[in-house]
Amino acid sequence: MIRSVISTLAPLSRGSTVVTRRGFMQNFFDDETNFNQQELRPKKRPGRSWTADELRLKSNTDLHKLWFVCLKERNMLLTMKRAFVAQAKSMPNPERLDRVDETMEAIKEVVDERDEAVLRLETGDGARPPERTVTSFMGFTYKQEASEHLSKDGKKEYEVPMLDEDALMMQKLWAEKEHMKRLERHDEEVRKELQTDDMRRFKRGGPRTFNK
Amino acid sequence: AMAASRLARLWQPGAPQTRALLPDFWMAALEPPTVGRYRLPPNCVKFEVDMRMSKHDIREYLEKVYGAPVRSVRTEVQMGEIMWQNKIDLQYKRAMWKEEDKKFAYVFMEKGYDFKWPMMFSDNEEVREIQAGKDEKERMDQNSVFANSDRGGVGKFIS
Repeated sequence: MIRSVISTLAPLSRGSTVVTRRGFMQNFFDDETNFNQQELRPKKRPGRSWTADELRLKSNTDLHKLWFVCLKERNMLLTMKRAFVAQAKSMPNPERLDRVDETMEAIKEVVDERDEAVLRLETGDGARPPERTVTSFMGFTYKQEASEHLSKDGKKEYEVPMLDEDALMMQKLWAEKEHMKRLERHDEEVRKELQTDDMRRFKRGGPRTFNK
Repeated sequence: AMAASRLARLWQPGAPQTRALLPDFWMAALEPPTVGRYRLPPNCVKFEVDMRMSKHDIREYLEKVYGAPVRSVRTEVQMGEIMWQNKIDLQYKRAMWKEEDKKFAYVFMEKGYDFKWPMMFSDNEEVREIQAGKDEKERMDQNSVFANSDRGGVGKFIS
């Protein structure tokens, strides 16, 4: 996905940043030859995104560099998209944006995996924030990731596991409803078991005997 | 997301940098108009940036990633247009559709910096004529909102 910039002057490269006669702004533009194209074919056809498996083979330095290459590519594509839209034209190969996003997501995934592994080995806790059980206003409990927050006078806040009237009634009624649903499902299954092939074929017909 | 949520040890001078930054911000360069009240000085470049970026973020981003000679950064947030279905909705602020909010950055480079937006589409007679027409219309219209605004609408029906 690394594109080469064609320039009349010899480009001075600063890593992957190109410095030519237009200065750093050149990085926000695609090849001049691509501007009037409907679709970039066949030589300039863009490649596919990096997969997570391919990125797992790469070192952290390589991933760091690839991240910034993708970042600049994304900025360039966004600039181009807005320029084309402003002239009521369509950008050639808009799937390039999705592919860059996919690559960046894959890099994040691999980096997170490595962080998790290293921290779990060194500290015992992984990289993911701890999970807390939260009770909603209607009494339902769900897991939520802990986030940084300011504490009140350094005192810890604990959740009081008591439900108010409405929440308590809600939970009782919900449990009752779920119970009824289970019973109905069981009844439905029993009914289906009792049905013979003939009954299914002829619907209203079939022998109505209940010899178990 | 994941490891970033852990509070790292406070860095002190001399300590090694144990973390590498993978910024997720995006910036798209925009072409400002060459004529009219919204034209910009030659050393100014207009960007549309991620809403979460601050002026410091924008400066650092351009200086470190692109090596740009940034002098100052000014930001502007534009609220997205809201489409109201009727007057009642407008009164009670019941919006059906709203366009996304946008943040623009006006980045002033060192004096002497001059970036001219390249001609992206065929530079032929027709395109140049259309652009000249647009510029002329912009020059003619730019004061129409402000001129004669103290006449209470008299004479507006007759152009």
